[in-house]
Amino acid sequence: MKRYGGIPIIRKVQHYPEQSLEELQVHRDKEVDVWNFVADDLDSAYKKMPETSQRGRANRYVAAALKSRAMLYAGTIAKYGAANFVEGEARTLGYVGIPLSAAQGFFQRAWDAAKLLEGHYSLYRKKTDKEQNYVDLFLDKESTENILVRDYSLTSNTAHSWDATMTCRFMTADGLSRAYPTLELIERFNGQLPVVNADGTPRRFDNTAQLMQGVEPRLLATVYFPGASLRGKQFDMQRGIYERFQGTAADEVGQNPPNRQFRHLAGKTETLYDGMRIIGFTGISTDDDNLTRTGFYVRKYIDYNRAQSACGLYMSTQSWIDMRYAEVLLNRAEAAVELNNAADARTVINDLRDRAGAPQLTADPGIDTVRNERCKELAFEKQYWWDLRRWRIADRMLDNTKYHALMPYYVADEKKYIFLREMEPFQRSYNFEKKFYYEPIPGGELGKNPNLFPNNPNH
Amino acid sequence: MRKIIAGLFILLSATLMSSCSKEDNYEGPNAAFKGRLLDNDSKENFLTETGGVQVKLEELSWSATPTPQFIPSKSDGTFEDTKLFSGHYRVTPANGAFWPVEGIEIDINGTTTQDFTLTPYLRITQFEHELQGTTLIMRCKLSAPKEAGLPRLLDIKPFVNISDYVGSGATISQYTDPNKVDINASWSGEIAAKTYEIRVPNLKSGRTFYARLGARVDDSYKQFNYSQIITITVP
Repeated sequence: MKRYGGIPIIRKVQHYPEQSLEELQVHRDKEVDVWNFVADDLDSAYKKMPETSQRGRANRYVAAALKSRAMLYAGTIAKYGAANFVEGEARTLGYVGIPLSAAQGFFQRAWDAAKLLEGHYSLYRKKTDKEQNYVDLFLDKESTENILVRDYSLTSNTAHSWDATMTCRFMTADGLSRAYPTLELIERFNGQLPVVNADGTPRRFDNTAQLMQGVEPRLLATVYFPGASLRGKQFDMQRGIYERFQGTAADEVGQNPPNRQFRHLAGKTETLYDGMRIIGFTGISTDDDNLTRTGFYVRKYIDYNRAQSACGLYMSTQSWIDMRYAEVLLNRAEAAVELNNAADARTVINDLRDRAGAPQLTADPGIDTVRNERCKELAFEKQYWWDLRRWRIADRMLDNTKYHALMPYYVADEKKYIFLREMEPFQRSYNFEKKFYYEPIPGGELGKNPNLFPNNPNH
Repeated sequence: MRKIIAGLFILLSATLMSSCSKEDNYEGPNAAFKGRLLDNDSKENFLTETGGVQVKLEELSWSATPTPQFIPSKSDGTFEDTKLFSGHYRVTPANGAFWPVEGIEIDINGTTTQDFTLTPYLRITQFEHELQGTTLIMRCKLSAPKEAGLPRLLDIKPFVNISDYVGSGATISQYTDPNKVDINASWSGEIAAKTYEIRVPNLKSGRTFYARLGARVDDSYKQFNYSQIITITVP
């Protein structure tokens, strides 16, 4: 659904060769009809299923949580897809796109479904330290927030590689890291980090870990900052060393950097300048991206109690939380704002912010605040991409966009650290065309069933 | 041992070769389709870039719902594909910065030539430029051939490259995005009257650059309508 729009609704099992090809080659249904079908199906699941279930299995609240997610998708596609779309026959026929008039109904159903879980699940608050609490929420199997989880184990050959592929080899036994949080994500929390003085010069730090002072606990628990520790080792990322540094940060990242001839970069962690590792053990290399490209590593879900030797490929066993109560609360808050009930959204978000160690909202939130809260809370949980799509803002957010890094440098003559906000070193640009809001119906399916035509617009 | 291995290889390659010896007696693709994309006003070639317009081909000889193939435009506003099968096609210029046009049905065989006239969303008019030191200043006005129903205007961007292939897909990015002018508004008399000034500072001395402006609207494809290409030599 979220990929293709309207697909055929099949209510009865098909039999081949007992049934003729004409019977089996069904037509697509309208997108709005398929979302309604999903809602009805989940309603009947909610009625028929028990309140509790074995770990890893669905119960009636899983159905309700999924419904809140699905209806929110349908509501936003109706509302925002009405203004941002690609013309085409499939749209004219209703196979993709939902009439704007259906939006409010879907939002109401999303809110109602989310409300059903109230009192049955709660945000995880076992530890008093907010940062540690947020870290453990993803690792504690007894979390009161888990609605549906997926377990992994070595004995059943289902272990995964999260630990080996999210941080670098310095902390792991095998594999290479490839996913790095952008500075843009970090700046969603509290704007730009305080790395520049009022006069425009880079603020001097005694060590990189000082940057973490005053940062929201939830953010510290979501990404590893320079100076953070894991398995007894410190993330000592450095982009390089300046022999000396004069002038402003803006000049240095501009087109004629005044201190460039005093800057040393390196490709390998062993490369020294004056006896010091130029990029540290976890630093930002000029060669490749086996080490961070942005100055940060993913922390969410990292099993910090696991010994380094057990952090190889296909050796990690922490559960994946497919649905947790925080998402349901965010579904509810977003639906509430779309239904002009911002007061409810405020209550819900303040609950999340209290657990996160973030400041409370002092006014009713608008849609941008609610969306930003969702991006912060659900970072790296496979939501953001689909959110960008259903909000129909992906073509603006990813408009040949390049992302930024926070580069830590050691200034040798002052024995201090500075941070510069630079483009990430690969300078890769990311683009999203409007036609990607729907994927093409695969050619193999179209070959088997010509009644699936017309394909989605511009594919 | 080595003889055995060598023998096996010979056997293997002999088998492989004989297995592809069946003759393909079908004709290869031997038809060509080419033409020009024309601006409806000037009748000159449509100002675009490599791939800025796609000519969509649907071969109707075999199926009413064929998988489309696309010929990307060349940077000079022409298109050509010399490896097509002869047949009956529906041809539609698409995916570009112009008002949608109806496709035409045409038989393609030998070399078939067909021009298309397109109405751009926007025209860049009164385009002028000057060089102040290492800063390139470009000025222009916008006009809209058709105002009713024009999608929201997004922005005007400068494109700069060291070859005359210059456009959104071939530009030096540090000269482009930091210097763009955002519009984010629907078409109005105010926009029509305004002179836009786009400055590209810090061009490298001693180099020759090719530059142009592009303006786009928030339609399905978000492609650019371009100005002419200018050549600048920075002293």
